[in-house]
Amino acid sequence: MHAIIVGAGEVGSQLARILSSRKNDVVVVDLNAAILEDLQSRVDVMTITGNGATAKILKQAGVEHTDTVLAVTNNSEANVLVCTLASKFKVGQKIARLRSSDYFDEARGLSQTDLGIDQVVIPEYECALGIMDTLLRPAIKETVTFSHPDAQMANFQIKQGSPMIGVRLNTFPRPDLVDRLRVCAIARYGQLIIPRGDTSFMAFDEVYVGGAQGAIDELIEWADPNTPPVENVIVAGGTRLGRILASMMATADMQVSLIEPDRTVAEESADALGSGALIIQGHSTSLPILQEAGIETCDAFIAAHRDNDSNILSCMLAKRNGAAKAIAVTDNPDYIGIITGMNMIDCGFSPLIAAVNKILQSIPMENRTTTALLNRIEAEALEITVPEKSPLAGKLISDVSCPADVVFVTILRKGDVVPAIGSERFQVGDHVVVMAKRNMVTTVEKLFMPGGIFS
Amino acid sequence: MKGAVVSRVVSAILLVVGLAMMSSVAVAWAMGDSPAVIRGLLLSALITMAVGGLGVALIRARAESIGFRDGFGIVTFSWLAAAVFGAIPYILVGDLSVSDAFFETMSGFTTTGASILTETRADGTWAIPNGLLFWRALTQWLGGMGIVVLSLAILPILGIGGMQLYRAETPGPTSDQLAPRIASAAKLLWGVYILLTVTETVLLMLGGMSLFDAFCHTCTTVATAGFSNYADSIMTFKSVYIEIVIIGFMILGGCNFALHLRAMRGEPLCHFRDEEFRFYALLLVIATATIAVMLVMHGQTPRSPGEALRHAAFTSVSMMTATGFSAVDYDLWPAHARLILLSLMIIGGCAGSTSSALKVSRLLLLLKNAMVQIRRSFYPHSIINVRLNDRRVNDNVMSRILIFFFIYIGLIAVFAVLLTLIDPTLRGAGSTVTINGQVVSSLETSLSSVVATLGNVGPGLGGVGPTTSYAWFSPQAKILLSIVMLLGRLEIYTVLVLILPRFWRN
Repeated sequence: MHAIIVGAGEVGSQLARILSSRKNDVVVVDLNAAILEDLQSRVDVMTITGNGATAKILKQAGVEHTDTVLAVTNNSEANVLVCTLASKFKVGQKIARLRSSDYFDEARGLSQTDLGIDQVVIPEYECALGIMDTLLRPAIKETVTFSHPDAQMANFQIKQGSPMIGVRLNTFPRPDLVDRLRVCAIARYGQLIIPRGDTSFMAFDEVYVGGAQGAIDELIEWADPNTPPVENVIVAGGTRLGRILASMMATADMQVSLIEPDRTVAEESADALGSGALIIQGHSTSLPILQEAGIETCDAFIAAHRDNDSNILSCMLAKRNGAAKAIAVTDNPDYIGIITGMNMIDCGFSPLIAAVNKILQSIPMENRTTTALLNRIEAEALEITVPEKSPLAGKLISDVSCPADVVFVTILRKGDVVPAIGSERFQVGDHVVVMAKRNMVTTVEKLFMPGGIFS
Repeated sequence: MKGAVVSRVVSAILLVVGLAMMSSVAVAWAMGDSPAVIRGLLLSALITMAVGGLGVALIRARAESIGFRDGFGIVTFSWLAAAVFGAIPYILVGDLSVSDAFFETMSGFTTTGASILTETRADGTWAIPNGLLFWRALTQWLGGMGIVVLSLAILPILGIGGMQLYRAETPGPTSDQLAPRIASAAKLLWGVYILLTVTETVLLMLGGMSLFDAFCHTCTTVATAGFSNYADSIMTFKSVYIEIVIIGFMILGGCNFALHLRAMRGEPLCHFRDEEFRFYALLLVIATATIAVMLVMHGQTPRSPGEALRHAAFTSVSMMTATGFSAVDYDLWPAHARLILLSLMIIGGCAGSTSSALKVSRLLLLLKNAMVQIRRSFYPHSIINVRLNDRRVNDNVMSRILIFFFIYIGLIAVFAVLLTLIDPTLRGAGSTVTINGQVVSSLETSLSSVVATLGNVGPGLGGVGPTTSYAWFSPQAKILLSIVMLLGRLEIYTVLVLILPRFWRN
């Protein structure tokens, strides 16, 4: 596949890295030559310095024969223009990263398709959806979805007093719960452990399981029966993400308090959210302000400031003063590993990772429909199709020599979600969900490909 | 530098060299070489492939982890390994000493074309078997576009981190990107290269050469290398047609291959829109015209203007593109003509071509920079930038070029002094030295042999002129000159980083 990425910021470079490592032809366009030079020294892509919202530069990037244009600069208007231009060149798929969907109003004339955009990705919105998912199913910290609507990968933490503590996989007291699932990874104090039959679970382990959503929910219900539903939430930061979250929560009938230090922004937030949320002007790193927002009875605290330091500090303060769950947002994907490794913070989310995942899920690629970067460990979840003549076709899973740091999770076969256990056989056309450490992703894909000597 | 990664990739590249060597076995058989020769070549190829194959099979390392530091190591060691293993046929089949064989192979791979062969057969060809003559030509062809770039094109194992390798082997002052993936760019370059090779072979055959001669001389021309099958080089053929074909393809070999590619993709006149090409053509025209006039006015032997022009054109192109073919003994020319040739040797061809030396674009940018400095002193507050092809060349690039120029000239001086210290013939010499019965200038000989090897030209002036060879150098001097060739081919930095102690630490 040939893809043009306009914008080499955090989203653009992550996309370039992932797409290029999957043997796609990638051209990255940006105004900043220094960023491009740095990118090119790490990733096998072609780079063009210039304004991607001009026909001249897009032509230079090969827009006439490209399959996908990803407009992911910080500038929404430029992204729209890139897509509109690309649609003039009959590009198959045009994805734009935008600040909000307010641009389009079908009733009053301008629709998304008029502008030539096939898919809008709003990082804050995607991130808010992820956060909401963990609030609505409070025991869950992260979910990844796949092409089958029922298939999922989820992460939950084993709390003190859970019946799962000390239990081994091969002598699980409730085999009916784990037989339909695959336990694919455990994050223990920031370390990634690939569980085997004799691995026993410990308190505070974060467990990744894959399978049908119902089966996952049943296991978590058994493992963690006491987590109450989330009712009272505090959102710190009247940023775009903060407001989107607050309004989603209000719609889900939660009691929302929004803390925002800046007077003007606070006023704006009050206007935008109306009676849906209680707006408090002040800084979330100040205890009296947190108390005023109701930190003692708070079920979930989400720090969504623009500033990483404030988010981390206010989460710690909130957790110490009574918040049941603290979630920190960061714009630096490298921080997520640190944040989730902290005792005081339950989850870390990044709008950029959310945007990258959304875009990757929207791009059709050979043999592969979905890729997701996992938030909490240095790993990716992949959905790979077993192609014809694949060396895996017809093989028993137990006969496949699975590389280290790779787990076959589930097989999506004609509407069924089958756990990928040793006695199962791969069939041509199966979608296989695989979890792999980031540096093993190409190895995994080679595993599925019909072989060559050097490939 | 990560030792395991580097060794594994170098092994893979050695496998490619071994495969190429295998083709000389087939040629030796087809050209009627003796069974001993065929066995010798087969053994050399098998040794090379076995070492490469074992390295790939036994060394466990993930190709994913090629960092930019490893790139320098991989490229330098690949070239050294190719020259060491490529020398085996010369030792087994050609009965050359180790230092001679290494020199000849390095000279081939680096497209220098400086030879240590002295003995000829009755028909004027070098007295080595045909299979070996073919391997000698093929080393130049492989080195012309780069063995690492070739490996990039055919081994997907090198795909990741390929950019590092590509940059380390073909550094150049400016980089054109030809394709989104480095492996596809390498394939495109080799495609153009093969197309040029086929065309020239056919054209030379039309001029009366045998397929074998045509192919071997084509390998030399498109790679701008310099080896001929004949001791008298192109003088053997005494054909204006052949000289014109070879002039044409030397010029093409000295152009940026990205331009050839664009021309084929439907921009036929793109060469003339490129500033570097225009300057390259201009320099060739000026050099040819000046030398032709000098030859007519001051030449020792009287000749017609037409003949003078023909010799001037062939020799200027041969020297500037760093090929080193000779169609006339230019060492008999007047001093000013030979000085022009020496300058052309230092300049070299275009960036992104198969020729080495300073490169036309570097010279052009140095001149432009000088102009900018002069204008800036006239308008102290003006903002004047160096531009190439309507793009601004930033100060960083400019200072890299200045430093490159400084190191290049500095290395010529350092190695010329070293050479006269190491080599017994030159060490005791006064202003003249007697080589093979000829009295030549010692300064001219030592300086031009370093210029000709660092610029990958081949023949120089005086004791290393077109009718003499490098055979008379001592073994130590030959090894020194081989290293100079490698420095020149990899544009200095790639090899020089190896002297940093940090490079050897993990």
